[in-house]
Amino acid sequence: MSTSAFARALAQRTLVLDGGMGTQIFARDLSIDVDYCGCENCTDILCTTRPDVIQDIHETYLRCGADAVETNSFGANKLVLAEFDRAADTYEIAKRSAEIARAACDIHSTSDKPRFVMGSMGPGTKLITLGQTNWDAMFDSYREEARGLIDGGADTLLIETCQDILQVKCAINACLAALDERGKSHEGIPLMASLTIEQTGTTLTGSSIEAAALAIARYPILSLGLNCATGPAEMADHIKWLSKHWDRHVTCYPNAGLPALVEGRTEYPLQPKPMAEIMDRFVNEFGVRMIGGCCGTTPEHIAQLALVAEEANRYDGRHVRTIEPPAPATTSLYQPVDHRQDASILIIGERCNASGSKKFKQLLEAEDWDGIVSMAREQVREGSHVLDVNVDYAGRDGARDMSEVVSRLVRQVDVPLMVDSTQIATLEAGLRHAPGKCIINSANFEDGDEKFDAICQLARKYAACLVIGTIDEDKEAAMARTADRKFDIAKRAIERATQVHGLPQCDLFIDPLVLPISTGMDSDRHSALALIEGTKRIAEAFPEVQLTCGLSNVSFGLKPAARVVLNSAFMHELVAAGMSSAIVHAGKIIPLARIDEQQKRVALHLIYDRRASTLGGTGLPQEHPEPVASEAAVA
Amino acid sequence: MSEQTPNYPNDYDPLQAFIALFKDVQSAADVARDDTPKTLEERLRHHIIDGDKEGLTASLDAALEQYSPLQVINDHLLDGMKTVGELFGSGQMQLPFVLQSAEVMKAAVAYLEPKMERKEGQTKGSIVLATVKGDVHDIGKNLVDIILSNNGYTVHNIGIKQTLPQILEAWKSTNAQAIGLSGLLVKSVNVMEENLREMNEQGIDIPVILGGAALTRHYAEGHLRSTYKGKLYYGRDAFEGLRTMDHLVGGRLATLDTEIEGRLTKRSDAQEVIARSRVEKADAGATALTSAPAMKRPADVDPPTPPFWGSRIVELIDLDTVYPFVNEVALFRGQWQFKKGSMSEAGYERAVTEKARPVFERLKRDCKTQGILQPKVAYGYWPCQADGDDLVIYDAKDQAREIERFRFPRQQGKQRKCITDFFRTVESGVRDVLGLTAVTVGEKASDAAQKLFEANNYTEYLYLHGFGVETAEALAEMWHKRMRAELGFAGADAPSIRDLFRQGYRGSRYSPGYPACPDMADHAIIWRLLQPERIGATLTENWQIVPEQSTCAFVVHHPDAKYFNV
Repeated sequence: MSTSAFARALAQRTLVLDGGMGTQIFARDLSIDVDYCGCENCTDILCTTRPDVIQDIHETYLRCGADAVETNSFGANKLVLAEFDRAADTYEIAKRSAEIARAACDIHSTSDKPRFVMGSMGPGTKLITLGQTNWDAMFDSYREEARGLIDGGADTLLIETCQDILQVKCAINACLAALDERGKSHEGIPLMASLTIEQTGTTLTGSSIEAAALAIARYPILSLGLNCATGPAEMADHIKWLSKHWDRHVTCYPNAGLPALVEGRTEYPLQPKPMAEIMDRFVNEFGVRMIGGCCGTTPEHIAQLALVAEEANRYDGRHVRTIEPPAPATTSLYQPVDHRQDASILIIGERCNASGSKKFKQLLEAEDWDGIVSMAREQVREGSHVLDVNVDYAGRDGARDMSEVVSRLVRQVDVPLMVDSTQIATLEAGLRHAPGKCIINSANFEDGDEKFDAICQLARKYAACLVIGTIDEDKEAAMARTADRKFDIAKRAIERATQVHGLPQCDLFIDPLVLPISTGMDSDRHSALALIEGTKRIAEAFPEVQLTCGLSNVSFGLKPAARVVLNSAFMHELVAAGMSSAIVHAGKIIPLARIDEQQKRVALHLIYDRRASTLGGTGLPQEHPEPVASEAAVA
Repeated sequence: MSEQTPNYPNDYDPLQAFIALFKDVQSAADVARDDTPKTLEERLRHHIIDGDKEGLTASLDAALEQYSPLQVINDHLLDGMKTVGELFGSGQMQLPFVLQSAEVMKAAVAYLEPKMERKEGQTKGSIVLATVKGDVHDIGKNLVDIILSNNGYTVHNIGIKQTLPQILEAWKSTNAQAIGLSGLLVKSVNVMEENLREMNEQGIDIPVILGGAALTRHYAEGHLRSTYKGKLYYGRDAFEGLRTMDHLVGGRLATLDTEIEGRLTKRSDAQEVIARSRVEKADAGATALTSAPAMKRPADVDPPTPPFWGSRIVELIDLDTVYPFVNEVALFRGQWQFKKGSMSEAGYERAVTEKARPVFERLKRDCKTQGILQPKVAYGYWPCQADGDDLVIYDAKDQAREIERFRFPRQQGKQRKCITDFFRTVESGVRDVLGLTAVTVGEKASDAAQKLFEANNYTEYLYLHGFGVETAEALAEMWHKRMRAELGFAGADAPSIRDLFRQGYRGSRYSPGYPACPDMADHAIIWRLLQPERIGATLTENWQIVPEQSTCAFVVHHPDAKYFNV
């Protein structure tokens, strides 16, 4: 049971949020020199100079039937106030904004109709995905605002008008940090997020609603919704999507239609009644639980919306949503990519790797970032669904290189990224630049639980997926070579990641380790078989978990032409065993049908170790020399 | 099976066997089966079919060692174009790729031309192409130009708005073997017919090929063909035009004539069957199809109040607010000719995502940053009343003074609908409201498209032209939405923009020249009221709007007002 009265109210009925603040403020005759302290357009500052005006606006909306009002703190963060040389006042302004709203709510609250203070946190003026600010500065900016709102008595922290999903991630982390400092939690003061989808159908930075929802779904937010940019009609498709696929509450407070500049003035055309008609559909058909207004909406709009909510609540007409959570997926800034691909595996391009590709290493040395982007794009053209990025290179600053590469790739390449490093600092540098939902590569038990836990925490903090290699503390053979060891370590890792760290199974990618079968050494001959067997056991025991592997290692040291054939044949066998993804060079995997019969047959003999049993092999093939996919695996 | 079982030695080691298999394989690229064309002849064909300019000159140089330039063109490159035509005809190839092929063809011919000895007969034949009087639409005609000239014909493309004397002058001075006439407007079909009659008068019987969106095969082959004394053929698309020209220069027109006769016979057979069944139905007491039901006026509704009377102009509209209203289906399938053909739904969706959508995104960006599209709107509201079939328009300030009158046609048969019926009558004493809009994306779009055409950049030409036209439509759609909001019934709008394209809103937007109000002369009245000259849109003598990427409409608020045909 939540300790938040607001969360309880939202679970019980449809609530009404207030309307536009800016329009109300601009309608009043305020002095720029005195009231704004010379900071024209900095409406947040009015919390300290004209609390009476702000409280009056809040009360107007409350009298019209609003259950909740937003604090006048849309721009009250350090980054925005710094533009007015007021960064130092951030905490004070935010705290005052909450106190004023609290006072207004306390006047109008009754036991039947409690009123709530929503701590408004706007997007600011800098887009983090476009590099106009960085994670640390934005985190610090939002944390200060959140501290003020919490201390001033806000019931929730509403991260709104979100144009950039990296900004949402950063703001959520800042809010959680501020709550933690104050000895509070999101259970008591819930976090809410509200996205802004432009008429183009995406956020300003290009994310579809699916991508945005996926990128932040793992965070503990009470609700997700839409506000600003358009009127309600334009939001309908996105609201419908949220209604169907978002597993928590949905909120919506649109503009009064699409603004147009008519003879020099910005006008919002949508009148209160037509707006209420559409919002009525949102409540009754799509189960939207909090409705209100953004730019261009007035107390009359809110009065109409209050009638809609009252009607829905009176007849308990609230829509019961049937939610179909989206398939487990990662996402780029733009679009999601499902973990499980129809009729294929999730192909993770391996070439942006300083230790795996000479070309990438040279581009990195030359700091040819555009060259790296081209290389990444080429992999996408060849069919990669996700791209691995590994800049580990002795003597270079991995965190810096990772920042440089990831900040470019996220914008210029439309697939999700796998940040790959042995260094936690390098991984985190990549994650701080990636708006989408990434995959971290990787965690293992080589250095015990401590480092494993640290990387799981990174996955939590950045809402990322996680690759876990089957390696443990064993002094003799840390890398699991047998099917038993692969399975045991995978089981330990899955249990720890889910039970201790709360990561969902479907976001874990187990890598049961591909070892070469090409060395000629007896000890390596069974490696492929052990992997096929281990893969099967893990896939059967943990059907929700993803499986991945660095495929090319199997043919280490062979001629390039031979590697293509062996890798392709091996991939086919692994997929049949349950492998759902592979880190490969997509252009170097060919369909079995295009491989010469004899080459294919011998490759399979090699994979299944069909030497004479007297030599330690699994025995020469009889009638059918060619194993039929995995059924031919040796008992 | 057993004879296939290899004989494995007792010390068989698959690793050694595997390494041995690749002893002589040098490159990883050699492993997979190779699909690239092997022979020079195939390579030439594939340059054309794949629209691939890379390595074209090398291939041509190699070909010139064995063949004469003319042989290269006629025997190999044109063979590729023929395949392109077949692929297009069967819906397996999209128009933008056809144009890419044409560009490669043109580049190849340009490369080979200087190497040819000039002599007679290098052209397969010649034709004069024109868009008829009063019509400014030329994209279809230009496609015919591209395909014919890249298939070895000499094309005298004399442009748009061509009067018959201009066309005949061109024909006489070039001694062309045929005349091709094109037009998009319904009215252009009448112009074509007038031209044909005039040619009869003058005793001219040069073969004519007719095409264009307004013309149907049945009208051309059934009616116009019997009107004209010379030979007349219908060209559904550029490739049918090519086929007609091939038959014409090959002296095989009789084959085409037989095909047309066959089609007409089948058609009249079918008509007879339908007529018979109607008679039978009538005999059986079914409702006679010819008798019209009594005319019924839609119920009166209270006129909404507009925010102002008279006209306003709106400029500096952000293109990003217009783009979401672009009808992608009309753009991709209609303008850009990405046809589904035999593709699966998913296959078509993929083709659109991979090919069309990136172009769409690029054009949106470029047209905005380079200012190629400049959306502007003139719109307004006038008091009005129905007087019989007339819609009387009153002065915006002095609402008792009649200033204009539209006469809308009434359906014959069917439900006898007429646009005027959606307004309150003079007798009612209630003043109703008519909305008018004229929108344009500016003349820069036409200019930029023309430049691309002249630079032989056909694919881009097709893309930009179509994009401009659909963006103007989008602007009209968006402003219609705005007017519904101003009139206070935007709440009835369907939630998604897609549904707006199917009239998912209250009322209707009727454009002159379309089925409910086909009279283009209405444009003149609209121009007097709205004065769209203020946003750079003017009318030709045939009431065509210049620039072409413009449109205007009546905005009718009545809930029963939807599209219909008179």
